Amino acid sequence: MKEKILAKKDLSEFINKLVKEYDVFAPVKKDEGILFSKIDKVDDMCLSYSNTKNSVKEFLLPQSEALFRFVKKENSNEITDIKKKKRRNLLFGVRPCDGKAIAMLDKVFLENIPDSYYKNKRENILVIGMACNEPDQTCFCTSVDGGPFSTEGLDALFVELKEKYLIIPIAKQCGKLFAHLDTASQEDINYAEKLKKNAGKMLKPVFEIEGIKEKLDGMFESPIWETIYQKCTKCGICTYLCPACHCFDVQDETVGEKGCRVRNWDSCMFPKFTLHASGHNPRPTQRERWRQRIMHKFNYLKENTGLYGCVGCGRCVEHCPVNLDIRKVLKDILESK
Amino acid sequence: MKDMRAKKIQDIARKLLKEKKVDIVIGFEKGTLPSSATPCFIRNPDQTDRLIWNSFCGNNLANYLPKRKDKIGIVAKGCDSRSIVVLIQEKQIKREQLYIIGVPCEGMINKNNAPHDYCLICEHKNPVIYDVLVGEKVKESKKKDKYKEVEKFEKKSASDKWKYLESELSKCIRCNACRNACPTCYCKECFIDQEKPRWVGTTNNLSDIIFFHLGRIFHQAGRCTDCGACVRACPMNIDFRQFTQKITKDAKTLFDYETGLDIDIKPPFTTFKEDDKQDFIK
Repeated sequence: MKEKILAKKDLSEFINKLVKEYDVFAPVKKDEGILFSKIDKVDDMCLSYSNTKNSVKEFLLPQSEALFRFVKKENSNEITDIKKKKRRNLLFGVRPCDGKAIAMLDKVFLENIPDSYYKNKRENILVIGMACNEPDQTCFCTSVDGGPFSTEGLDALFVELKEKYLIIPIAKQCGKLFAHLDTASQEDINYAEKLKKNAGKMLKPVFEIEGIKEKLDGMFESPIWETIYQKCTKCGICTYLCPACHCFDVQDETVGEKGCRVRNWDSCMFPKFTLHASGHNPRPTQRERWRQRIMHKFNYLKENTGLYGCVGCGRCVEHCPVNLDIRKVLKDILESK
Repeated sequence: MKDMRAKKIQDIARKLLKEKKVDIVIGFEKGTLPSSATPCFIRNPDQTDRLIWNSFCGNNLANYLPKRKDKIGIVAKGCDSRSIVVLIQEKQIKREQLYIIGVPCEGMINKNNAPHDYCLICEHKNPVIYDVLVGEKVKESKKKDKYKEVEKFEKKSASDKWKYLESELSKCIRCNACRNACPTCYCKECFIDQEKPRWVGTTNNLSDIIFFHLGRIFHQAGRCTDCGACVRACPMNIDFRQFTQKITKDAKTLFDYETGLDIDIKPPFTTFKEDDKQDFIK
């Protein structure tokens, strides 16, 4: 598919069209910061953002998701499915790091035994990215096999030029969204290439990730874990803001005989995460929990999906209350003997 | 001036570790972001030159003390020292386990290089308890409009108060950062994590979220030092201080109690008086 051009002055009309057909979610300025939220018109959006505070994973794996409802009866239980959402979702302005996280989540939730709840939502969503011309100081996508113009996991990528956007369509289903737009000139494509190179230069890798999986293979009992975790306060900011973290817990929320089975985000940083019914906890301290966080992201997921469980979005770096910086942890691991 | 204090902290820490007066020193080291400092744990006297002191040392290090068994040297500014007093009062740590390196505080600043709101109204910049003081004491002053925001809140109608509470707490993502950053939230098992019985639902239902925060905030009466750890930690910018300050003001006006100033004065939660103004307590 050929690259297209959308003048910035026509963005409003473009969004108006999208809103008619989709529930459109885009970066919106709120008290909390910039959040992916539902928009009705172009003015609701805030496009001067480095990244949103919440990642887009909540559109595929909501923080709390009702799976089904039930009523306990004498001889049998009555079970009701949760109604599927009819209107399609469209995410606009997804940064390439979050797109890459979707590609990783797809591997976990759609391959082997597909997760029907995830699948339903995934099939009902279009993901339109926005390339990063000016990465933030906490960004490190290029250190974890990503890039500020990466198209992985995205259905289309917008690149902001001066007065217009260059649109790179990726998924076939995007074709009709951009059919009415002019094809990009070679000059526009060249300019976008220049921006891509510039952004790449700003994001020199902070460590050489190649080989980390193999290195971690032999590090389960390494003394390095002893040096990492002490300042961690065991909160869930890093995992909850992470676009790639996807661990969950399944609970029944009941009132009397009625109930709802829900799945909620869970966090490997929480002491209760691995607490057994017997009272035994195989990860008794934050040392084992941090080891798990690193092993899962850079060893187990790499082995099982070919991708890392970290896309370098930098949310955990920016928001950790004690500045426990995963970039430093990885550097220390890579530099250790 | 600041570098001098860092040097002094390093010297004290090195001596403490060399002479084995403490097993570990908890202080601050340079962070990885501009305008940042990060808690650090030092056991080796040769590592003490990592210790720093600057206006980004905002974390309340008392948070790392509850239930420790070792001997600890700890760097403490005014608010940290008051939290330490609370932890000693509540038997979470013993005074004799601690060697407190007190540092008078001129107020900490945030990522945007502006002073934290709570530092602007702080009346206890100097550590209230210490074994050694680094640098000169700073001048303290009473802050007349300390409770200005709380007073505005108190004047609201019940329904407006509830609306504000709902709008603030609906931002919550249940990451537990506020609770875990708080030095006085040290329960071995928090009531929101209990399953038998389960007090709070597990989802992001607003009613459950409010129940958690109200429970947590009420338990801070006479225990919160307004150190700002909860608001600093919250990734969603929830204004917890609107509520914790109300509780702090109540402790002061109803019980004439200010948190963490004296180990020997009984906090309101641990005592009762025969001549209590309210009948239900008798």
